[in-house]
Amino acid sequence: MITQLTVNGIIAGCTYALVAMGFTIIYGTVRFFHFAHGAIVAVAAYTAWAFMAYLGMPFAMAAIISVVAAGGLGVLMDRFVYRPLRQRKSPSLILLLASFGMFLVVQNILQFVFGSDIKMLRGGAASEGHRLFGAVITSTQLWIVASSVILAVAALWFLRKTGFGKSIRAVADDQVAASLVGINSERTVSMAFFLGSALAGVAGILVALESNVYPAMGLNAVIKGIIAALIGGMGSIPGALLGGLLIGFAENVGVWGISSGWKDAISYAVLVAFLLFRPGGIFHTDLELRKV
Amino acid sequence: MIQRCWTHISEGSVTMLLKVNSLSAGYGHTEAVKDVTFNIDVGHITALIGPNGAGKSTLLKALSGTLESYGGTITRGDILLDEEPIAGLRADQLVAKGLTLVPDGRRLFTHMTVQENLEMGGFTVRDKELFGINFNRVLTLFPEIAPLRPRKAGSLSGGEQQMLAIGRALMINPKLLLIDEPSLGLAPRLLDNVFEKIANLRNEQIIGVVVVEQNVHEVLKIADSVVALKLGEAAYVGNAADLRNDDAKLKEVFL
Ligand SMILES: Nc1ncnc2c1ncn2[C@@H]1O[C@H](COP(=O)(O)OP(=O)(O)OP(=O)(O)O)[C@@H](O)[C@H]1O
Ligand SMILES: [Mg+2]
Repeated sequence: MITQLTVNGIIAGCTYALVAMGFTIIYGTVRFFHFAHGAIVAVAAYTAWAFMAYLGMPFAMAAIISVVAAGGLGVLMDRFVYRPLRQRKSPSLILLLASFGMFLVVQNILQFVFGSDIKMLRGGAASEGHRLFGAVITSTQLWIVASSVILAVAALWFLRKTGFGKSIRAVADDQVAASLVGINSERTVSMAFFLGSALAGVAGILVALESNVYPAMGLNAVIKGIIAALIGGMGSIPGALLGGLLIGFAENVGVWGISSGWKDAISYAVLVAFLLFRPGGIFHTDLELRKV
Repeated sequence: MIQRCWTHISEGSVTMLLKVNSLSAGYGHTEAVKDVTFNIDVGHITALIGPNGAGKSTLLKALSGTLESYGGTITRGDILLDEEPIAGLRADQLVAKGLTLVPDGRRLFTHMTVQENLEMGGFTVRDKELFGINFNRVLTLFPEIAPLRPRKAGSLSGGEQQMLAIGRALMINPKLLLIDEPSLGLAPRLLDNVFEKIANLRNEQIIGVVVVEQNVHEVLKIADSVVALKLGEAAYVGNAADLRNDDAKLKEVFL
């Protein structure tokens, strides 16, 4: 039983980690809570579903298109909502409110277009599971774990080793200084939104494969993603990965013997414990909450 | 009221690097720089002086393309760099043209190491060899920085930070370098040191430098020309030597 709960925790944790990585990349660059990140998770899931259900597209192709669309949607949100606000020097509270607004608008559009009933990305019976230390893990679940780890490593490499990654770090540190060494900060922000939103898109498709597609699916994803990013240390990719796994593990194993309705409470309890005793998160980044 | 210094141009031996023509700039309804005109020659150090609030930093921000980030705008006038209009370009576009600013408050990447700050300074230098040349030149000019390279930039002393800020700006091998108050928070001895480096810089590489400075007597020792601002207007534009030997005139433009 405990191994099965652990496996479930890792699966959930991987999707949280992907959302958290995207969130943390964007937060690290623009320093506000991009709550509409959750809406992008849902849009990617619906896009994949629509391409498969309406056009009969194979899964892989639908998934790739949806991930690109998710990245593009993030860029559009930045370009047409956040950037004008930034240029007007709006405080981050205003940006957060705008972000909430966009989240709700997108969620309502999804509900209007697709209805509020639950959709499934994979028709048919659940695939045969593999046995692992007494727990059952399906092929889909193995895919989820593998793609999360690969994407985490790729994102880390991208941010640490490429010029683009360095420009993100520079813009995050000091935008004026970044422009004075020749970095186009608006373009850097756009790229950060694309990368972060594409990661959210992957998460949306994985969540859809594992459970269901419904308009409000982004809410749980973004809340758990934010908690994971905070626990890991805001701005840290390895932190987001570990934070996601920790939250997934805690809420699945924590409900052992009690109702699974306690999952959210457990996640919040873990967050509160971190905020009290290690506010910088696992990796103790200096991008603490006061800078939100 | 505006005295122009044409001597260098008439000599024909020096070329003009920057031309500022009736430039006005400000923040919303406050006009901080009013109708300022002057030229900067290649290989010259220009001292930009004037009392607090005269508009010196605003002028440098306007020249470097960073004014918008501070909520300001250029309202009138032209800026020509090598005869090419540059007013309204962003700072990153100006870096590509060889102009950068060491801003007030230095604005280092405080979360990065000294080494990383220098590397970020050369972010746009794609040629590895050129990058290496620039890097070595900075370390030759500021040997004090070399042993500090593993440290976080935020942990350096004021003087060290100032040298790093200038060093970072030099990584693009600029043809025009603007420096805002390098002396801020520095001990007088360090101040001499930093000024000496700026003078060396001009002697070794033929670049234009504009230095904003409150220590007028100090900066006049190294400057070739002077632009004095007073309430946003140019109170004196001309030769540094004339001002150096004329205390009465110096008092007049500065008070
Ligand atoms: N970001 C800003 N927003 C609004 N007004 C500003 C801003 N920065 C400067 N000012 C105003 O513009 C005027 C010129 O300021 P500026 O900083 O250019 O002066 P300065 O000559 O550099 O002074 P100091 O020697 O004190 O550095 C001042 O009246 C100042 O209050
Ligand atoms: Mg100033």
